[in-house]
Amino acid sequence: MALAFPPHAIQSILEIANNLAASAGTSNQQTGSGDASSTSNITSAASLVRINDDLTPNWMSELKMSQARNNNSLAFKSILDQPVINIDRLRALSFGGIPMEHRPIVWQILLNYLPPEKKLHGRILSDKRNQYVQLVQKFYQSEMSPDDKTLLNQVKLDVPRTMPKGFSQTPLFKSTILHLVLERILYVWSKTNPLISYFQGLNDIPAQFLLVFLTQYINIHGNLTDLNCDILDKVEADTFWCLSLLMNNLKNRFINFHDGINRMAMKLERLVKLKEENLSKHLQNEGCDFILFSLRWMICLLSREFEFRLCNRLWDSYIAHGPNFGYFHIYVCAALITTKEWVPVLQKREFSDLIVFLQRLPTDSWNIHHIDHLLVGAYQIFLLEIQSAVQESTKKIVQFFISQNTNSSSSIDNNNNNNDNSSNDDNNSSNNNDQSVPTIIEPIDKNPLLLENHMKNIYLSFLKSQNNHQLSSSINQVPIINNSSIAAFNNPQQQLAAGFSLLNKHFLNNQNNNSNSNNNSPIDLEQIKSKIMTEFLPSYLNISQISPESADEEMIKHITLHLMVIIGALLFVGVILLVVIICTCLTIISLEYYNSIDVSISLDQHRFNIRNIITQIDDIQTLDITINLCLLNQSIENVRLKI
Amino acid sequence: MEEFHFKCIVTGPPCVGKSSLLLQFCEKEFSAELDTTVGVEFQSKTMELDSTYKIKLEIWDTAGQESFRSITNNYYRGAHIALLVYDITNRQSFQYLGSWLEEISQMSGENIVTLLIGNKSDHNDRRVVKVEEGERFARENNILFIETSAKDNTNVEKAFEDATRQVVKLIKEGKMVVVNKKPQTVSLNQKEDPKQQQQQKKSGCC
Repeated sequence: MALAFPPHAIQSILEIANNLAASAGTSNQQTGSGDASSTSNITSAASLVRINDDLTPNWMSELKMSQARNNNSLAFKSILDQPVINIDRLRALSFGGIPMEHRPIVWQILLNYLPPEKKLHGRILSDKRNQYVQLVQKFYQSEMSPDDKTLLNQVKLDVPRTMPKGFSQTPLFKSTILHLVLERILYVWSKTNPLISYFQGLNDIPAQFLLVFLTQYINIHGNLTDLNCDILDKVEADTFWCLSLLMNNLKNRFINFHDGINRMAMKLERLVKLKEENLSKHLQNEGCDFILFSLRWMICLLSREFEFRLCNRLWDSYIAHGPNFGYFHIYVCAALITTKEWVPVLQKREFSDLIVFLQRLPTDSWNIHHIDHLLVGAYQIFLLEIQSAVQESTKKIVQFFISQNTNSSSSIDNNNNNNDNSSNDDNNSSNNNDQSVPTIIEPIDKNPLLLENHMKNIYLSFLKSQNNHQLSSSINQVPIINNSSIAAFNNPQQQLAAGFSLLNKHFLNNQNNNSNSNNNSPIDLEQIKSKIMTEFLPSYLNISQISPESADEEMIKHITLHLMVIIGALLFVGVILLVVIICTCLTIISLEYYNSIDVSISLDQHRFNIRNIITQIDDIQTLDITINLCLLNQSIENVRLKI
Repeated sequence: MEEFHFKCIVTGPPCVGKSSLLLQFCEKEFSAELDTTVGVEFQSKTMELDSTYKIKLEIWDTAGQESFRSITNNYYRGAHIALLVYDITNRQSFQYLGSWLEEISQMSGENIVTLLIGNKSDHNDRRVVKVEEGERFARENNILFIETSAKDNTNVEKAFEDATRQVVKLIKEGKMVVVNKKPQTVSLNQKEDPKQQQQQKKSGCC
């Protein structure tokens, strides 16, 4: 919640609201709403409500705006002309929209692609562009695995279908050179971000960057005679880096796709409920799933819903918002659904018509002012969210006091008499509280603008609701928190302290009464105080609890999980390697040992065998010869005898 | 005239012309540069069938890409018709139809009329998947088959008519039950819903 609206964003939105109120005020002066030009935060907050009644700007405000834009352009020039650019000032100024001629460089600076020191720009640009060329060589122009080929095929299929709103009649996005540029950007990005990789709809984001950066060199609506490779190379690299930097801010959302999207849709649903409860009920009754229409808004950052110029204006605010703009984006989406003109239309529609309407929002007639209204609307929803959070926790505290009272005191009726006498107690107890409260309030206090103007309303409305609501007999005494005493406080710290002191006082009265009969009461008081501090206040002030987007935690979880898996794998591999090394060493040693013995033995055996064989052969041969000789002799003798 | 509400999902690999088919069917338009579908998109159209039935079709156009599968799968529930689309000029889109079919039956239950559509039939010169192959695949898996062209509007209407006619036929034979006439809705967060629906369906079937 707090991430969605950092102080500089709130400041800028209040300024936008003031401008809108001022322009509305000039047209409404005859009807007597002249105080709109006041610049104080309180009146601007009050005027937030009025702005909504006047959504269609007339030519007067149009004229004023164009004057303002000229001044704006000068202001940008003066910031950008400095040797070291003041990022904070640039950020604050950019939130309200960047003039077209400055947009490319301001986006690049705010996305941290370019440093604030102007003299470094040239070097960094050439470095980064070279780096990109290397990445392209590494991933795109080298051998690809089958998986990479399917990825590239998918990108190749989608790239020609990329068509930013309002460019279907111009040749730019139909040219094959541009398709190749987009294809390389998307493919290399997917390879450098394997955890997310490419998904459909991502192609719309670099398309916006390409268009904005191309405006530096060519007329993007005209024919492409001026377009050459040199320009495209530069723009391609710039787009790639800016896409990477922008997506880094949204990473935790898309790593676990299903959960991230679901979380966003749920948050959106809750915000819409805060703003337009009837509409949210209607959507629920019709079974209209928020994911159905909001998925595209979340992924394409509304670039498909708005025409190029309007989308640029919205993205000015997103980029100026800083790394947490993703949270802010959900509020903008909520403001978009609850656009005042659309709410009655939506409430009449049935499921199918509802979805069709939300999938094709009629934003063709919108102009820059509508985006301003949208941003202010997002802030209004944020205020409502704070209000409901404060109400919730105040209710809790009061209920706690009631339960304590009913437990500890049986004679509540007597307290009425003490109310008037206890003004001194009031001061004392508030002093007591002031010592302990500020330390706990600190987290919210860092963002003082959040509560300053609205705590009054919150308390008053809460008290009203409590008055109407019959909680119990004891709560009727709480109205000692009268309106005037609250209104006298100016900052939330004091208000909180006051609220507690008054509750405390009320409680103290009871205790005083009881102390006559019960001696342990001072200890109880201390206990209860500590209980409030530990149990209720933290839940109220813990911003991370109010904010449902625990995406950062998830990111950390994700990273630690990965790290653990990697370390585990490394250990495992190490152990295996060790075992293998030991085994091989052992076998080598043993083999060598055995080999040396074996060889000598076998050689000996061979020698012995051979000798044996030879002697055998010798024996056989001599035997053969003697036999032969004998036979020969016999035959000779036979012959002799015959003769 | 008897009136029916049917839920129809259009599914298949990326870039085969699912959204174009719908655009042609619902708005009678064609555009070569349609944006990629992100998640699920919805259309509805009322049509007449044989001038005896009035049919309101709720058509859910799902994204073809893998990343969205976990989201699109939720919309298969309770569908009466599934149109499984492939591209006749792209062999890859035809290759893995088996797994797509499996997913359809897994996500929606057995009781669904599936129609296989070979799209881009206007590109006959670039054809790589023969008509017979599509027919054979359909016969083997016991589903309907048709070739269409979203570009010159051949068979687009007929594809939807064939599918709805089959559903009506099944209903008349008592083999399929339309659970409710109101458009069926899906919620991601209610996990008990599908069981209930299935139970309803089962009791209806028996």
